[in-house]
Amino acid sequence: MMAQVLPAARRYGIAVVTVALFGLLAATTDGFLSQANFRNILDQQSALLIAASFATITMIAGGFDISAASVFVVAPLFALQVENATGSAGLALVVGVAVGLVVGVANGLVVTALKVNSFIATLATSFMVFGAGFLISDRSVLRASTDAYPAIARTRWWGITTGAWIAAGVVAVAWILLSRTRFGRHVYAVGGNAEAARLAGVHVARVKTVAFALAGAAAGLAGVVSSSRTLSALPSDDFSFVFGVIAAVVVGGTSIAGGEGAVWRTIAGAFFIALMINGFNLHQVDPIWQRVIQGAVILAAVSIDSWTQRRPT
Amino acid sequence: MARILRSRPALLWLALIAVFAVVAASCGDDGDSGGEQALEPAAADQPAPEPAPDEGDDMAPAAPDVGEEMDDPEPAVSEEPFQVAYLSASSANTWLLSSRLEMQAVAAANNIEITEFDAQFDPGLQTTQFQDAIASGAYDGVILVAIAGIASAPDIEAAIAAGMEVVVLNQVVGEDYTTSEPQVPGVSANVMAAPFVNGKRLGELTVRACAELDPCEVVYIYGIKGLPIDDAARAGLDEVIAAYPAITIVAEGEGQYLGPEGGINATQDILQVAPDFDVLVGADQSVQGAEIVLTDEGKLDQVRLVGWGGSVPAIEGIAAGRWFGGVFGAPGDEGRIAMEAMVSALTGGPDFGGVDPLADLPDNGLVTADNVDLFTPQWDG
Repeated sequence: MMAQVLPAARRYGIAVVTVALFGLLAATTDGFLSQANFRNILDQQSALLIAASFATITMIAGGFDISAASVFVVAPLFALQVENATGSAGLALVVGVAVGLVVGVANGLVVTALKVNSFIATLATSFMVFGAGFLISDRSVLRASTDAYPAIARTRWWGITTGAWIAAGVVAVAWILLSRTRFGRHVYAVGGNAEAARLAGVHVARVKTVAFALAGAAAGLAGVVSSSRTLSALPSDDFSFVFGVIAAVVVGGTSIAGGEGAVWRTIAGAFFIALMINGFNLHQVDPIWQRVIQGAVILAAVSIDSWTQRRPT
Repeated sequence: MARILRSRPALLWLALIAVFAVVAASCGDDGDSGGEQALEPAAADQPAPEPAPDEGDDMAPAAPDVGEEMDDPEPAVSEEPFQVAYLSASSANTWLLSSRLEMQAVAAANNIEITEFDAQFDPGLQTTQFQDAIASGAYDGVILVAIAGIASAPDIEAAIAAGMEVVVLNQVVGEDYTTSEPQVPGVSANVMAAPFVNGKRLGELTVRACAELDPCEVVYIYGIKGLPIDDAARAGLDEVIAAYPAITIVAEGEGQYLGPEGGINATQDILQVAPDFDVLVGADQSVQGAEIVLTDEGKLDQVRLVGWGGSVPAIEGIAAGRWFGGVFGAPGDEGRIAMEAMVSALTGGPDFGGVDPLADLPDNGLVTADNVDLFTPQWDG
């Protein structure tokens, strides 16, 4: 029995921990086990899931994309300017994603062609993108001028917001892309051993550039979804979004070193953190103590997952 | 020698550091060069600070009396413009942008050139900027939006010692969050509404929102709990509502200050544990988020929203009846008064001391449906 359970626990450690947390909250927390609460969680996590699913691919490919935060902030500023000027939410959505795609391609080229470390490269592009946000918005809050823009993320289908449905679709695409396509196999190969992948005929630069481009586009879409949710966008230098994305990816068990990971792990990681925060709020835990406990729990979860993956079967 | 240094990199670095130290020590103290230009003209011939109007949107606190004429009748306006360093916490912040625009208008009318330093909310960067401004000797005065609070006091003292006039804007520099009075000796003016006092304003609005409700269940959404201004504001609110046993805080949340998303998430979760509260209090950004959620849940009519900031969405919400009320925010007035105080200081006029920009506004800056027409929002939110 144990010989069967332990390998499964090793492989699915983060999922087990997340399910355990779900069970604990269900047993101890008033208001947790309700449709409204689950809909809220899906709604709250929609933007992060969109960005994190493709950030996973970038990380597996051996890259580190800090610029997701700046794209998340700035893409909706471009989108809202277009929406205000044309009245078209659809065009605004396309523009927001395109902004992210352009930034992602730029990141990819800097990393592959100029051989700049991805952390440094995307940090540098972050500053440029943040600055562009202040310029495009004239340092002002931008708000939607039509009802169609808020409808992008706030329409409800079977009680669940379209933002959450979009996130589900994006996660599915990322999952299939990584686990069922040649591109996905190349991503793992490049992240595991770029030189070996190159010798095996994989176009390493192309794979990395595409990974960064897709991550950028996803971050742009996440920004548009978030701004649709909040009916506005605000220029800032705020990096906190990418910390949330990286936390979900790393807590899920994807290796920062590259070559290992999966989209499902990121989803599990994201929901582990989301459930924890939801539990804190439902129990009215002091926000100051939330920070301390959250950090400790994340550390414990990552340690357990790391330990289960290291132990031999 | 060169060969020895090349073969021992550590020695090379030590040598470079030693050279730098000698050069730095030999530069000496040059603190007088910037200060002397500033304090020439007589107060009588300078544009006096504007008196407070009786009514209207742009009410400013009464300026202190100019006082008796100066003994030394120097030319009223120096031919060279005064140089003022504006140490902003963030040039990209919508609130401070409003302050800056008003500041510029007053400066332009009074032969003052402003150099803005953007600290990007980095306390270390602001310290560097402040110290560089002092060391440069190029500035007659500094207007500071402090990021690090009391940690800015030594630099303020250094600036004053160097002959610069200092005006503090918007943020507390000191340990006392209950007063607008300057807490560093020598500061010409401290232009801000004290967080504790604003909290009391929130408390007064909460009391009004809870009128005829017994019990009255209130949700309070912090910006960032633990931040001194947030805690001081909450203390002020608590002091006021303590006299009303019917009022209870049934849930708390944290909305942050970067848009409505924090308020959306906090309100969604709070509705699961406290589905039937009566009043929600928070910063404007959080209340915007709460309004979105309450509208989606069909509960907006059941909850009275009390904001803090006086932003465009807040004033619109109050005017439309969707919000109950809010504490006004006057970043434009803050900037204008700060620069007026600097003008007075640079021209030998009286210090403004502590100035609460809301104190002389209608109903002490409390905006409700009854008086919303008297208020014009000064920032976007």
